[in-house]
Amino acid sequence: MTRALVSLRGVSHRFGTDGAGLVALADVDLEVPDGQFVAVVGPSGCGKSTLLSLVAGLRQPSDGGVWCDGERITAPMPRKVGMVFQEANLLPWLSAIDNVAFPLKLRGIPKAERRAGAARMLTLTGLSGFEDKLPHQLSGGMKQRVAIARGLVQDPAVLLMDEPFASLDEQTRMLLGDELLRIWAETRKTVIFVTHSLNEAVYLADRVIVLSPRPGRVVDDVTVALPRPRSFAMTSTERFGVVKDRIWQHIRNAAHA
Amino acid sequence: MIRAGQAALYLAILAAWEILPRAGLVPRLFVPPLSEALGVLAAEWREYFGSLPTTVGEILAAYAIACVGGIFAGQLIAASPVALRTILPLIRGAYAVPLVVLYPVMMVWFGLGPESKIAFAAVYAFIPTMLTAVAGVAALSPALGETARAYGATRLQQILYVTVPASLPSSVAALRLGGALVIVGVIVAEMLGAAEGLGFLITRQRTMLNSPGVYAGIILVLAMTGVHELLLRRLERRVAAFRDAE
Repeated sequence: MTRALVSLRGVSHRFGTDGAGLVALADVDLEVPDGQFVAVVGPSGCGKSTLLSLVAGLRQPSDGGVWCDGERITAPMPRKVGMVFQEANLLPWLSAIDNVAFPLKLRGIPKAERRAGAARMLTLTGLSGFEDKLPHQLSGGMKQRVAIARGLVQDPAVLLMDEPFASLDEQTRMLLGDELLRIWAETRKTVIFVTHSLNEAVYLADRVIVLSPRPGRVVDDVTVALPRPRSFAMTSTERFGVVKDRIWQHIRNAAHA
Repeated sequence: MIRAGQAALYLAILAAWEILPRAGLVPRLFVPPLSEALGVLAAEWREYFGSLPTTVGEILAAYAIACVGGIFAGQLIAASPVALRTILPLIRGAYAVPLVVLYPVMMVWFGLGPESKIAFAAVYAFIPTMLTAVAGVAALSPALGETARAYGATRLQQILYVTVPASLPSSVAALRLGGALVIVGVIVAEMLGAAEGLGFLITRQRTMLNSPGVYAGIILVLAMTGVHELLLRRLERRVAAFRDAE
């Protein structure tokens, strides 16, 4: 087995000053090997997004620790970890290419160099020809492609995705899912993908982590033994159904509890 | 269609200004006919337009202090949660004080010349400009700042690359308010105590009960605020792209 690239060990997170408030995550252990595509699912409010923000370094765990590539995460490490949010969160006054280049600008990379890097990423995400468009001139799906390109522009080892397709319509969501798998196959990033959609989780991921309702704990860790490349036809196979059903049982039991 | 309606409305107001006093429906001492006011402006143009350099100079100086300073201070305060809870309530409280009570004090400090007008107008416009700027930053979604932070932006980079450009439209709104208040502040200060300037001229005409002369001055004040408004609309159109946020 390949070594763990991202590790969460004994991670708990409480909100509020001095950690007295709401418990979002309780004692989470998770090891993600290099190159794996992991989906995280669970009922609303189970701390899925909190988990991602801990790996992104945007928050610090109350207990335990998070490591990436052997280094403990205490602040954002943008060169190792890229992040894509639910909304594209593009700067509306910057063109697509300048939005993609923004993380490089923050590091003081010269303009010509960062534009060249950003242009490559826009090509990778299927947006060549749209470099100079402003965000409001792009569709929701295209904005999210720009956000993915921005997430990949520093060639990080890990790409975190926080319900990246949740605000898109279903067809766009399915098309972008296939695009994401193509990009993943080309770049072999480690992906941690938070989603509400069980179909999306099983279709995209190698492995699905199921969290319990708040405080979030890992209640199941399911390997998706479907061959790659994935195809739409697989979503109606028995194996797909079995995996999805197993995850659904957890969610339903949690709802009854 | 709307433009024609607007033009008709303006024409109707100007026509009423001319006709109502002439028809005796409004006493001429209160509102003299438009043509009489314009006549004074034409006959004594040297004196009226000669007062403009002083007044415009005071306005520009106070504008720079109140608007640039107010917007800058607003950005700084909005960036600091501590300042928002300590300094901001104090300034809000100060805003409730009618600042015109300060003008006699400022005349003692700065004399009868332009300095006291600049100081008063700058102070008068600073607080509302700053509060508008703070409100503009507070209304921004935190998502963009959080995204920048995830990509390693420092606090200063967040302000420079995200907050300042994102709040440009509200900065223009702050300029509009601050600029209008600066014009009011300078004219009022000149009317209360000065040796030159447009406000001084208006007051002098009033003490002589020369209504056409007073209105000639008012027309010039209107022209100044009109120019200010036009310039700001241009600026607004320029930053409109920033408002096309999702």
